[in-house]
Amino acid sequence: MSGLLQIENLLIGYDKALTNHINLTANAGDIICVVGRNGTGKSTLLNTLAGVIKPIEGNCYIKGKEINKIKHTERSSVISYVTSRLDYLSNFKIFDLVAIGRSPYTNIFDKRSEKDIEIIHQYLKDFEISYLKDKPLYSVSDGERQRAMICRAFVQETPVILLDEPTAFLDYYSKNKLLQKLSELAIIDKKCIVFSSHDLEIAFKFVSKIWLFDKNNVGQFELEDLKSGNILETAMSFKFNQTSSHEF
Amino acid sequence: MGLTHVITSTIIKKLISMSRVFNTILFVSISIILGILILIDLKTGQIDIPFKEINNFFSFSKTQDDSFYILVKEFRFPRVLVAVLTGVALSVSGLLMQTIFRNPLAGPYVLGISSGASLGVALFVLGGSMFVGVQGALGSNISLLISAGAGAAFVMFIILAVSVRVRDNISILIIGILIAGVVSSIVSILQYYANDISVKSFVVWTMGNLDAVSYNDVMLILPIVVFGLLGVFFMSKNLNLSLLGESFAKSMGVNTKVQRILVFSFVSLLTGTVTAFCGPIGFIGIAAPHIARWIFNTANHFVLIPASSLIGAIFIVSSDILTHSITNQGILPVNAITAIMGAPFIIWIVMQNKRTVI
Repeated sequence: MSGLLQIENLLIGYDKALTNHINLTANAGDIICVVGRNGTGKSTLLNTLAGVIKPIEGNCYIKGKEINKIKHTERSSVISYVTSRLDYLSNFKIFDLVAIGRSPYTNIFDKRSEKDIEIIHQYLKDFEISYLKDKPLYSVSDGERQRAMICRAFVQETPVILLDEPTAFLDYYSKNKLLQKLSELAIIDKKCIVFSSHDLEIAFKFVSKIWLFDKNNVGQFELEDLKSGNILETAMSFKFNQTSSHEF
Repeated sequence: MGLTHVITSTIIKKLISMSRVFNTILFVSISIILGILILIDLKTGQIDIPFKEINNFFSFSKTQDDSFYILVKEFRFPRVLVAVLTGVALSVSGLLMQTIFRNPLAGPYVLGISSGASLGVALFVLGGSMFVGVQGALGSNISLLISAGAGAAFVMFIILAVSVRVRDNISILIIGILIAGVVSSIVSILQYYANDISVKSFVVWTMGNLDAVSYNDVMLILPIVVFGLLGVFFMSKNLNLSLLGESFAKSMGVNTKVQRILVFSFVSLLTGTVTAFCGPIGFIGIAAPHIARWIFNTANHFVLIPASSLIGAIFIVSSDILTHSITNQGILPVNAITAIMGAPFIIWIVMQNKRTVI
């Protein structure tokens, strides 16, 4: 019995392991929030899952295949990844940026079919960034760029989507809107979405599971489990009743 | 729903075809400009050749004055060919380096790759005269090519190794300048011990010289540059992905290690080859890709590679025209002209600071 995304005895880190062995599972339709203090290894975990860095020990599997053994060219049609770094400056048009999501399916000359272009426009509309499509990347705001990158990840049409702090640069309205969109896509398109976030109040309204980095341990929790105990309070100094009064 | 869908998709197709048409117009105009400049360059020199004679050369009809024909065929035409190839090789190298380092200030000259090639040539020419007693002349073309290529590869390797640790644009630039400094000191030491003849031929070489080339050189440079250009063009898709950073490229399925090795080889090959024959020619590699981005308003390597090549060729052919037309007494070093034309670009790029994009 294994999930779509299966993490077994994984040790993550660059030189030294950041955590104890990690064992987690995610399935199609799951929307999972990775939670933890700064520097606990959330981004490292996502980087490892995306195949950007190698694990120190252990394995992660997608559909039963070990991530680091999947061919480079194939991996991008199974996992899409949005990093939290936004330091790139380019005169890529937003349309071209989003269109990069189709590159796993195009030939060496990056020739896009009509269907590819249709998909790109559909997601541009879904993420409400059609108005940006002719703007160069350097001229848009951080939030707009972030939304374009997330849009690109969905254009990639992979079963697993990893997002590192997708809400970081967004305003309050956009944070809600984005997470709502993500949870819709997870449920309707049966995607497995894993994202890290510090916007716990908003994130917890939409997620099904939580991967919590608590000191050196990483555990998987249902939202209900966290609400009843004081696990989150000890790990993150986060109290649930602070937020229950908010309604949107 | 059906109708709006049809309308939007037609509009999209229209827009795409329009931008294609626009790019085609740009490419055609730039090629025409290059063609005109090539004709002017063929005409310009210590002896002015009428356009009619150049026309005769291209239609293979020898006319009344054979000396013009021979002058064009034996001297001017190989010179222009090598100029064009040099422009192409240096600007493509510059584009590759700017993309892989994600640094708008990168280029074969600025980061010391050309200096590396100089070091190779210096060791070969000057060192050869010291130890082996080879006299004077620059030696055989192929050994010159190999020594320049090896020198370029040596510096490129250092810069690549450093860039893995140092990500800051300006720091890499400073390291390039330091390498160039060390290389020029080594060259000074070599010059001190080498004999007069080899020093003179080396100094003439460093000024950049397109006049000394023959068809034999063209036969060496042409296949290498064509091979490099094609190879780089086939990398376009992955280069586009690399514009957004190495981890992004990795997550999109680019084998970044292989890509680095390929870029390393192509830059060393292209820069090393043209530097071996024409001397270290500066600033084209950094300026041409920026002009291409500016004119075509794109980051797409499928457009930028041919565009930078054409613009680099225009850049050096016009420099060559200037070197031959400013003074009647002999020729000026190409390097001086490209520096005067290209250095303002670097100043402009630095002044733009954060706004500069690759």
